Amino acid sequence: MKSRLLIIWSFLSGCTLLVETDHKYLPDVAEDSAITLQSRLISADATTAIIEGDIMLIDDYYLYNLTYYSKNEFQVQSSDGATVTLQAADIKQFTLPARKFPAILISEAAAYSLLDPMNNRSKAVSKLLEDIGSASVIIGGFAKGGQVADPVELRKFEANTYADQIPFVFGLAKKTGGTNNLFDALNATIDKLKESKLGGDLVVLTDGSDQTSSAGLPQIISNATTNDVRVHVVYLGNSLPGVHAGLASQTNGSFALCPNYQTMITSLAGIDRWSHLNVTGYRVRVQYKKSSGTFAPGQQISVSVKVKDAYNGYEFNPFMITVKLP
Amino acid sequence: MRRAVLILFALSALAPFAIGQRFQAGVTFQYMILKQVSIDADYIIPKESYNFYINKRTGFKLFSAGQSIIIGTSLQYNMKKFYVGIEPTYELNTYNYKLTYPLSATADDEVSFQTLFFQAEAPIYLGYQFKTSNVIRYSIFAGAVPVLPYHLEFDFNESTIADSSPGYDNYWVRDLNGILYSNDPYVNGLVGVGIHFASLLKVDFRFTHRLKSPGPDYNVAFNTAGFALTYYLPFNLLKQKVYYEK
Repeated sequence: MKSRLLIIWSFLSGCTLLVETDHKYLPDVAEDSAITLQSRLISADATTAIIEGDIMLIDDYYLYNLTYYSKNEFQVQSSDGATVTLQAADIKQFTLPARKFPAILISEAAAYSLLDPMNNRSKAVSKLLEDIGSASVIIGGFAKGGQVADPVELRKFEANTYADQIPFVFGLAKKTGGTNNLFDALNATIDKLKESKLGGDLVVLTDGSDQTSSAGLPQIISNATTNDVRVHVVYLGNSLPGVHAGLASQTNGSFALCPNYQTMITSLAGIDRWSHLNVTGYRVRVQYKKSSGTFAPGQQISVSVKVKDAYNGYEFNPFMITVKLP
Repeated sequence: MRRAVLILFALSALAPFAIGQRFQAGVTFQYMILKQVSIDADYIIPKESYNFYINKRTGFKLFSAGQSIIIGTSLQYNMKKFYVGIEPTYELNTYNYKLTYPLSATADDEVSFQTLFFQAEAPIYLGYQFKTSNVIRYSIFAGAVPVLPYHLEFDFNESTIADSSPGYDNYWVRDLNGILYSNDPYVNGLVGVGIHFASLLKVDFRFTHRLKSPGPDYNVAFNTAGFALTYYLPFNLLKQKVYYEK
């Protein structure tokens, strides 16, 4: 009997079979990221404004919302010489507006061959599409002078067509070329969303500045707000893009500033919790004091805030609080 | 299926008692060097990651598509010109599969997945022998091979562009799970031609074709060809009696 058990045990001890998993993996290079959900003006006088931002800190692996950082791990800075002071960084639960007809735009300008050489953006967009689930969705790639249609190559997918959407998204990556034409692409997409008459949530992945579009930022913001379209922006690059942050802020969209593709993956995959309208994050309040002169009417002010993990030294991508004064 | 394979292995324990002209028992060594592993799809969307691969259907390849080494026992029961064989064996089965990941308008990455199986199997076949001399016979045979995988490894083989360790940062090593492999037992079809040298040795060329794909979403062709060498133990000599006339 013992010898039989020994034989069976010997056989089974060599067994190594697959353990099934429900978790789907983003690339290992992904890093934790910070996203601004909303910015708002609390108060302002001639030289000083109190502004507030609701932000999410997202774990790169499971895309959990991280909430174990304290106020002293937040560092605030201004890009225009103003004196900025962090007043509060409190953990809050936010209720996001209900999501509407989704659209996703991806810049396919030539710069992406350098900014995202391993084409991680297509994977992150796939994750976003999976979150959107069964809804109909518009997907587009934009560039001027490249291989995608000018100003934007759009395709509308009906519900439950995830398996058809993915080849299209990765196919867009095979058409990189040309320059960024964000505003013209946004204009055309918002016009497309008008057909739904429901508004929409438009997520855009972009980089650099738009130097070729005929449409301007005020026109885009007007077109978006008139048609109840929120523009969520994931910006890939090192500069502080006040224009893009303003676009998101003034259309009630989210904004993620990603200095590298590692944080871009997490930001893009987690920018909008399509099925989780209640999210937990931080409400960050900052005092902004001009160094000289007074505010002009309609002036946009931005501050960037970094979160640095005191335990392991990891520094999140900066998040921006951007408001437009009345 | 698992029970059937275990029973067949238990039968193999009878090999030492298979004494006589009608029964033959021996050991077999097989080396399969010609393989075709081909997914019948233009692109692959893995279930466990957000990757996407462009697929090219492939034909037979010598060595580069993978190899199989098989060792085990062989039991054969002869019925005049027909024979039935069972070969409870262990197989080390490897295969490589290359897929293309799209990067940009001008660049792609080639990702090579390597899979390694240890599996227990028991080919069962029916053969027909053509006698050409008292020493040499030819035969053809066909049957089925129940296979029970019991150890599975998978890895990247190489990646042409990824600048870090091959593939790990950008791709998921289990991307072909449920496409090229799974835990489930399966069955191969088997045909072959053999040369028998008296009752001591058989050399055959055999071809196997997997009858069902590992997963439900993609049809995958697994075809393998190679050689088998079977040496039969000379039990019949134990019964031999020599009488001398005075």
